[in-house]
This record gives sequence, structure tokens and C-alpha cells, in this order.
Amino acid sequence: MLLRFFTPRPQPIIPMVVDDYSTGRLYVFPMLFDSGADRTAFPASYAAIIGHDNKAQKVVAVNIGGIGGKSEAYVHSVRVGLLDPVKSTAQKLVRPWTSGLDKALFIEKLSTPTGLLGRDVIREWRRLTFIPINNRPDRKWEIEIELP
Amino acid sequence: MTYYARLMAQMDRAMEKHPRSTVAMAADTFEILAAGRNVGRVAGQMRRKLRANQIPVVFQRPKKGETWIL
Repeated sequence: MLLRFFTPRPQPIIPMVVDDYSTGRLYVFPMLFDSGADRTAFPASYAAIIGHDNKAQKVVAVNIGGIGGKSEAYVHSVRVGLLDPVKSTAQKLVRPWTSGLDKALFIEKLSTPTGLLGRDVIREWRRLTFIPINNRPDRKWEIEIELP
Repeated sequence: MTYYARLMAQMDRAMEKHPRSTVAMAADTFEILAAGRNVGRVAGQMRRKLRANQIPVVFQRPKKGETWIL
């Protein structure tokens, strides 16, 4: 199955469904494809959006390293999934694929306005292609994802 | 126009209206549920307005002219 997304942003960012399966709640966050990231991650402050507390006793904290230096990160139980760009409607967000991974990092020093879609998730797909678009003001990238 | 295209357009519109804020928007109606600089407050306000089974779309506008290196 091949899915084609477009983004009007200079960066390859698409909205993805984030499933907090501990509560059954779904959220949509923009995610940046980041082939340099080992793990899928969000800014630490986004934990509040899904109703999680980074300082709760049961939350595991880990140290990570990146371009901003070392940082503390909190592990929360969420699954990311793709939003079907053709079949989704306002009444029903169709998810043709959900990651098998059930945890993501919420990083203190991550200041991007998006989540980062790391290689842990990207490698679950068969193929990922970025196609630059230079002749449309409303589209900067087309992104093709081939699902297994 | 697909729902996906409408969603992208509505997110762009909301980002222009609230350029320095975290925005929470209802995925079905595109109603702005909450907007502000403090993510914790946005989360609280969003939860109070969110109806059962309604899905929020949460986003921020990237800073203009900012170079991203990740």
C-alpha cells in the first residue's frame, strides 16, 4: 500500500495520529521525518497535552544526546499512526497503519514545534521517499510511504 | 478537496492567527479549543472544551526564518 502526503511547510512534516492507549485517547500532532533520530520523540511539554506527568513516579527518565547536547527524556506509552490522506474524513480519521512501538521519548531540551519521527518507526515501512515540489506555493514536499 | 488538504489549510490559518502559541483545534470541526504560550494551560483548557470522542490536533507555528538542524 502506497500513501502520498504533501506538506506546505519547508520541512517534511505531516500530521500523525498519536494513540495514548492507556486512556484510549487519540491526538493529532505534526511530526517531522528525522532520519538522524534513533528514537521517535516529542518536546517534554507535550506530555501535558496527553495528560501525562513527566515527574510521576512510574515514569522512566533516561539520558539522551543530540545536537543540543545532553538532555533528560521521559518515556511515555504512546503509539504513532498514519492518517490516511485520501480516506480520512472529518467524522472518521482513518489509520491505515499504526506503529508496533508502544513508547516514545518526551525530551526536555527538544524545542521543535513538532514531534520527531525517528528511525525506530521509519524502519517499520518498506519505503520512504521525499519529493521536493518547486512549482506550487501550497506544497513544498510530497512524501511517499510504502507500507509492508 | 480532501479532509487532509482542509486540515492542512486550517492548521496554517490557525498558525497565522496564533503565531506564538500552541494551538489545540478540534479535528472534526476545526474549532480552536485553546491557544496560548503555556502548553500546560492549553492542555487544561483543551480538555475542558473537548467533547467525548473528539480528537484534538495540537501544533505550533515554526518560527519564521529559523534554521532547523536536527
